[in-house]
Amino acid sequence: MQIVALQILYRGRFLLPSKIVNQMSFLERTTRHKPSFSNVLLLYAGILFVVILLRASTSFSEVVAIVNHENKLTQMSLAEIRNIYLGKTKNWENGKRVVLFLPQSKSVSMDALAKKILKLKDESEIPKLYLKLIFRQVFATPPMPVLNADDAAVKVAANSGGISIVESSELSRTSPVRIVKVVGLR
Amino acid sequence: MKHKRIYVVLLLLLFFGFSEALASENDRLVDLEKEIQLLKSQYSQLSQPKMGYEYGPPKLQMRGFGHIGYEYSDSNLGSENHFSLGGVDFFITSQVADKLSFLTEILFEFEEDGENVLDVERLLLKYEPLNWLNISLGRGHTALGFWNQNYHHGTHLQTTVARPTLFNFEDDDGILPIHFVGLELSGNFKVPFGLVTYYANVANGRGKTTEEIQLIEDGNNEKMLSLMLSLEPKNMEGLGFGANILYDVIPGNPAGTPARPNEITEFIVGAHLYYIDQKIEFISEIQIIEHEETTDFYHKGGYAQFAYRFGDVIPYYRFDFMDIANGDPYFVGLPGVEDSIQHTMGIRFDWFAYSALKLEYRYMDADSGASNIISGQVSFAF
Repeated sequence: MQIVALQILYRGRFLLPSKIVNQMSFLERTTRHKPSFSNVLLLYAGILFVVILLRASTSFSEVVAIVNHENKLTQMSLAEIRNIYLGKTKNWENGKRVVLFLPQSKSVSMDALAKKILKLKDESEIPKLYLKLIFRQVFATPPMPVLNADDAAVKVAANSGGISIVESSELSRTSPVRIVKVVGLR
Repeated sequence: MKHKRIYVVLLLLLFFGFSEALASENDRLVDLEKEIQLLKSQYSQLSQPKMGYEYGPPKLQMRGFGHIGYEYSDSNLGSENHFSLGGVDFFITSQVADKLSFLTEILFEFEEDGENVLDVERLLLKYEPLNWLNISLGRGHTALGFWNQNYHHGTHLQTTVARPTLFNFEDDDGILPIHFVGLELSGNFKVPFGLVTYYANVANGRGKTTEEIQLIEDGNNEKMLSLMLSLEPKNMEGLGFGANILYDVIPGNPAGTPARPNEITEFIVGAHLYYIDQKIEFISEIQIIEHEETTDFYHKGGYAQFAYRFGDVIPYYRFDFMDIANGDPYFVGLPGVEDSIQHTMGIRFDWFAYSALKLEYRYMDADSGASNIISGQVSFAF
């Protein structure tokens, strides 16, 4: 079985680093046997299974913004969402007041908000930033926290101007919010 | 052999079909569980009175800032080495309604004679109907440069111990009208090359003396007008620059010492340039004041400040200058208003998230003589 695997991988060696290919060519010279049909099939099935598992674990890990269904937004840029979380944009195009919700603490989405959107060192800098912004009367109150992605969805759904940031894989298919892709944010 | 192959193929098909069905069923169950949680939380929200300013009473937020310091000075103006209480700054905000908010900053200050003074430094009711139009009424900081818009009485939020000399408060021998009482319009709008932010004031002007802020009346019918514009260029996060202009007519002070019978027309123009990111802080400003009485007087002041963050430690340097014309009757008798240059260097250590230790050395060369000042400060937010 291992020999077959080596032979198959050797034939597809152009996909692999040269260091591995060199080691495989040595092994191939020493292990020439004709593989059986069932072994090849099993190997392909194994590879396919691993690929499906890998794909399933990574395909839905995108960080997105969620807004209320009344909001017709479908996509925004990093600069646009930064302006929203910095209080430079406080009203949506439909005239509704922006209501900010922070993502779940210590989550991938909170990390994305701190580092990629607000360009801060980490999550711990966010309360300090909002203290400054409140002091300058940019905001009267800090953004409200959420417990998890579903809690964010409920709160955004309940506020016509609501916005939060979540991992799309954390949302249920029936979440009553609009998912907005943030260009440049993954 | 042939049967064996068929069995293997069938086994594989069965295996994949079964695992796919299991995965699909599992996905469905996870979704259903999430949906149940969602419905539960929606139900609990619906069954309780709705929270938040859209539905409930105003939400009051209270914060505070304070600082305690020690200062050594060899100035010949006479100031012994001393500890000093820097005041207690209570800062209250409230979201009154959907687009209406309130802010007040109440400062308990301690005077040299031991008296306590309560000052309402800011009191603003702000209505924000549009991104490009916010309307504030009350007392706030005049649209007069970067420092005045960004740093107020909570010294914890500024990197340095002391403010730039140019932006000293009115009751601390400052030469600028730091505070306004009246109307402020502000907002921002996108332009092809960035974001423009503006602040504009229509307010009671300056009082008869630099220290007087006209809270409930005005000494003349002329109103102070000011406008400040800043541009943050696109794709250059942290960089900004802008300019400001102010016009006012200062009432005469015939009963003052010395007597000043005539009104003074005041023009202030200024410019600012800054770059601030997580590591670097660079701020520079210049303001030129023109006072027209029987003679014209021109005064200039400015500073450039640079700081760099190494983790929790921030070393900094600032250069200040003041160029004051002699004989301006509005500034006569103010002890700190003179030609001067000042070098400030210091280090700030953010030892806790909301507290900082600052150690600062200042060398000032002024008309009244040169002096060395060493200040230590612990500042905090609470």
